[in-house]
Amino acid sequence: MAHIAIKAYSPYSAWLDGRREITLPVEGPVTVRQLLDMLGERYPRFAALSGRDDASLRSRVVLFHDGRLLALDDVVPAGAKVELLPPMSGG
Amino acid sequence: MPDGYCGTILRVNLTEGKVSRQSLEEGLLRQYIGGSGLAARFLYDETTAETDPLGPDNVLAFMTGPMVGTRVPTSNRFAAAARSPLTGLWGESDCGGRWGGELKRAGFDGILITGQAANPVYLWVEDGQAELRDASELWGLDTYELDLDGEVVCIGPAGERGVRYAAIMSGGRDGRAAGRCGLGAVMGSKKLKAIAVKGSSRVRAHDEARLTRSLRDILPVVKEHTAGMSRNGTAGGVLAFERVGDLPIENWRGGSWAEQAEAISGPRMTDTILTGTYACGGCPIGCGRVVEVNEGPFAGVKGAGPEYETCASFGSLCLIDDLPAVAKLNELCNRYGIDTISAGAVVAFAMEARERGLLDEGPAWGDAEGAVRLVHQIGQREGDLGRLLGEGVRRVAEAWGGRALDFAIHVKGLELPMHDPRAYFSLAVGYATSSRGACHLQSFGHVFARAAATLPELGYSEPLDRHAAEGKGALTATTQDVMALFDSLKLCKFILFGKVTLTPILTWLDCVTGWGMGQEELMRVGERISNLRRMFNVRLGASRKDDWLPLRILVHRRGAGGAPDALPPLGRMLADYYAARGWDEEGIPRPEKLAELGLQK
Repeated sequence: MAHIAIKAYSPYSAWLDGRREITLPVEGPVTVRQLLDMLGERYPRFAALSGRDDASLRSRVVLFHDGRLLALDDVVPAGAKVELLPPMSGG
Repeated sequence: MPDGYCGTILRVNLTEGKVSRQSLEEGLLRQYIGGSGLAARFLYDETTAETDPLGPDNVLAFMTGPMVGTRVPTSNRFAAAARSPLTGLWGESDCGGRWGGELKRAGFDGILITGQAANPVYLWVEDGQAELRDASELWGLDTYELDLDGEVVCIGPAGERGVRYAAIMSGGRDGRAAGRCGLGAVMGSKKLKAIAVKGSSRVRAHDEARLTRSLRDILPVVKEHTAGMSRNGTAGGVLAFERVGDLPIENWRGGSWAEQAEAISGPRMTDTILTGTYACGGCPIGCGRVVEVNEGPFAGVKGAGPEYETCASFGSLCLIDDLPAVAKLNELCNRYGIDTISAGAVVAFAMEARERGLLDEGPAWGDAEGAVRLVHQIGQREGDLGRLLGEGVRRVAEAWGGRALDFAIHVKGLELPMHDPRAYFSLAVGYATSSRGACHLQSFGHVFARAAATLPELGYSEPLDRHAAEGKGALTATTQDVMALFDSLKLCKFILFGKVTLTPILTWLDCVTGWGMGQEELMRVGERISNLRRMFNVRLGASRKDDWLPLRILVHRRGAGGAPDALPPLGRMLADYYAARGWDEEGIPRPEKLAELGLQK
């Protein structure tokens, strides 16, 4: 089974029961939307991120992979490492 | 006089020791709104090309706007403006806190200060009255030590001693700063230590019930979308900025600082030294941090915590991955009254100068304690190095000459703020053309490019290709006009993160003034203000030759991080920008454009 690795920074590591990194088993590429649903099924605090649009999501968490900020419909390949970062804010 | 305005400003002539009042005409207000716009009008009319920024003839303006003191969220602000001693050009800085609202409640829309006092004074303003008082005993106090009744703006020792990037501070330990452009040095040159204000009147809105309805709809949306900023402050975004190549590193040479960035981030602050938060008057976001450092070499720090700009300027720019150290440097700057952006940039510049053998003293990269010592020297203008570095990177590089010019990172003399134009090309043309020198807030180009803020009324609601040149000139012209309005209405730009766009702002302006101003007229006001500030600089000799970026930003590929190879094609974007503005190829507003805006001589 392939995996997608999730690396979480504060405060999201607390959402992952205090773990900095986890892996999620996947059968192939998944969209960011699907990835968040998978996280929500395993870790309840992520469930609050379901059903948001991109702007609303990015006000809560930034998903980053391969040099890009991810949008909900972006596809993440198996084997990827996705970082969960606090929102871009301020100036 | 429309609601929202007091209809009166104070005029203070420090040479003569006189205070007087001036009534404002509604026509003037409708053309320039307040804040930056009104200050630009007064400064253009009352200074000349010969005005000495640190002389008695410079005019120091403090201006509020119509929403200030009302229930419109994030509007409790003021603009400070003068000819800048750092750039020699238009100098302006925006500040939150509570002072702006208090000035309105005391019965004044603004204050214009001219002249130079023989001895230190402060201005006392209370409910329609104002007087100058002796400040001899206050001279030399830092901004935390100064203790006056009422809401206070003041300078610290850096402003008194003419550090060219000295700030005007407000709020004591809950520090807010009119940081940029050295306006604290202007205040110091006038021997004006502080302005203390107490007011008890109410700022009326034209239609309070409609305002209530609008706020009831919008405030929950604002709070929802700014929750991250409430939780982690403006430094919440450090990690994400680093990942996309927006965080400046090692005096703008580095491309990646992935492992260290977390150490200077907002979440780290939240998890370690944060003891509370604070908000400017009427703000539902509350991005202000209160921190306390209780152990280690920087124990004793207590009060306002560093913002994003400070975490970057003293952190990644200087390679200091130590949050208590950054908090200490922030506190020192607040106490001395120094802009933390320019100060961090000066320290990074000194670190590179040392590496290159141009300096044989001062801190090496990452030397936090050395940086602390250097900021003390700058704040006190102590020793040759402290005196020299208080001049800002442009003057130091010009004094040293040679290779120093290659790594003095500024535009028009103002050190770059902490967002990299190689990450967002819109920032390149924004920095190059901002009237006050390198400024991210006068265009907010990086924010609109990633659609973190949107202007659907003007066609900007989707993310843009951050590394495309096409359209960035026009985008910048448009967003500069909108930001000029924010700076004149005195709205905080962070409310844009709360999904506020032009439509509710027009509603609020109408609720407050009853003007019924439409979008076209409002945008025309923004364009008028942008052009007037440009003409202020044109009169001082500015043109396309000044609308440029440091060589390092234009030609140095960082080779790592989120934007390893990107270099902004500034010339192309600049041409597009001038065309969008109706300026000639030298960047001078055409006579027909000025006539269209009512700015002809």
